[in-house]
Amino acid sequence: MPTILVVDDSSVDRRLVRGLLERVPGIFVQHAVDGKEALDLIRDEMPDLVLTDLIMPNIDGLELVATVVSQFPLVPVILMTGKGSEEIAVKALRAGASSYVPKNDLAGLLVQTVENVLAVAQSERSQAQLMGCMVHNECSFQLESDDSMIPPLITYLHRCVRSVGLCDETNGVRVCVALEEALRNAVHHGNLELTSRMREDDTDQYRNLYEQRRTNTPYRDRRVHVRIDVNESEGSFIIRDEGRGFDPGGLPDPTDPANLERATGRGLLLMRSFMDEVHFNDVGNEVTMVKRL
Amino acid sequence: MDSSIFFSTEPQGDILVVSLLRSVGSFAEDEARDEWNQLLTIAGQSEIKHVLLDFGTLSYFGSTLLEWMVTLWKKLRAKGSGLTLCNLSEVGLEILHTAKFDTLWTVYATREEAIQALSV
Repeated sequence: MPTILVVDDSSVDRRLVRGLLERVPGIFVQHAVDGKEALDLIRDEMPDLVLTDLIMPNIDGLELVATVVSQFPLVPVILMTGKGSEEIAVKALRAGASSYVPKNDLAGLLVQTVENVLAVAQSERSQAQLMGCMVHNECSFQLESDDSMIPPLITYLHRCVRSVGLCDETNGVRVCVALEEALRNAVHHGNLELTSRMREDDTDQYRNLYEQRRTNTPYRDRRVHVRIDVNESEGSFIIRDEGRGFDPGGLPDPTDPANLERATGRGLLLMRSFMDEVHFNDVGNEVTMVKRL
Repeated sequence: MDSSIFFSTEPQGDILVVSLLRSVGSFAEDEARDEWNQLLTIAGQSEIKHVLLDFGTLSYFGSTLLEWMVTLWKKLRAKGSGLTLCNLSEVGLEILHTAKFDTLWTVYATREEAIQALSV
């Protein structure tokens, strides 16, 4: 029996939505008057779906979307939007909301939207359950020099280290931090040969150079190779770029007070802090990181 | 900035409360940079004496956000304003400590504590 949490500070709107939803057999409706109450209810009772208004006191709909996506990724959120807020609805979708329904057409669209989102969510929960059965994963990826593939790869690797039992949630996050730093280093500093100094000098120019080099030879043909091998006791992550390499020992200490305001070296610092082992090959274009239980 | 997806802002008197909604990955992420630049503009206004970054929605962040925070802090410092943080996760606190940024900025457990302290 799916539970839907309706979040709206208007009692009239809550009653209207409840009335529409309760026409669907088997649906149980809870309500919260604002985002804060909603989060408390989600923590305690984990609904199958959250249906939220946009404008509310305390935590508004957009912030609620972001929080639920971050902390309860298997709970889908549908945003109810007022007239003229389509742009905000698009922003909410990009922030992770599963869908949105205009408030001026709840009667026509709400039930179908809820049913569709519930079906997709059920499928995702089954996938998550399957991932929980994983005991060993060995796989490789070959990425273009493009930041956009890093977040989904991190999400996948996070799920792997959690699923095999190598990491709990907190250690899984630590591994994510280290991996993200290593991957971005491989793309930016390795393959595209962009330096931290360039970023310090002019971030707009850095960004332009990033876009330029991604489409120009030799940079655009370089790949980032990722090899992982994880089981319940150890995870090994090897990331290799096709750049010239560097001397990791030559970086300034970012924790030196003289360097705190500079842009260099923090990525490697975080990698070393959150992995049990970090070592580079002689060229400096391949890093092996190990995390142990 | 109420349609932002990375940062939302809420002035509370002379304190600008900034909620970090999503992880920022890269300087090349245009939308994040545009929102951050808007934030820098708002923070530069004379009526803003403190900026409070609320990390409640972020389970982690990396060196990119740390660099952006330094940029914000430098701008605030230049006009005699301060930067304060709150609601960091366990890993978030470790990141700050590892980078030694907890020596630069005060960190509070909750938004309420931070606002109370800044309002004194």
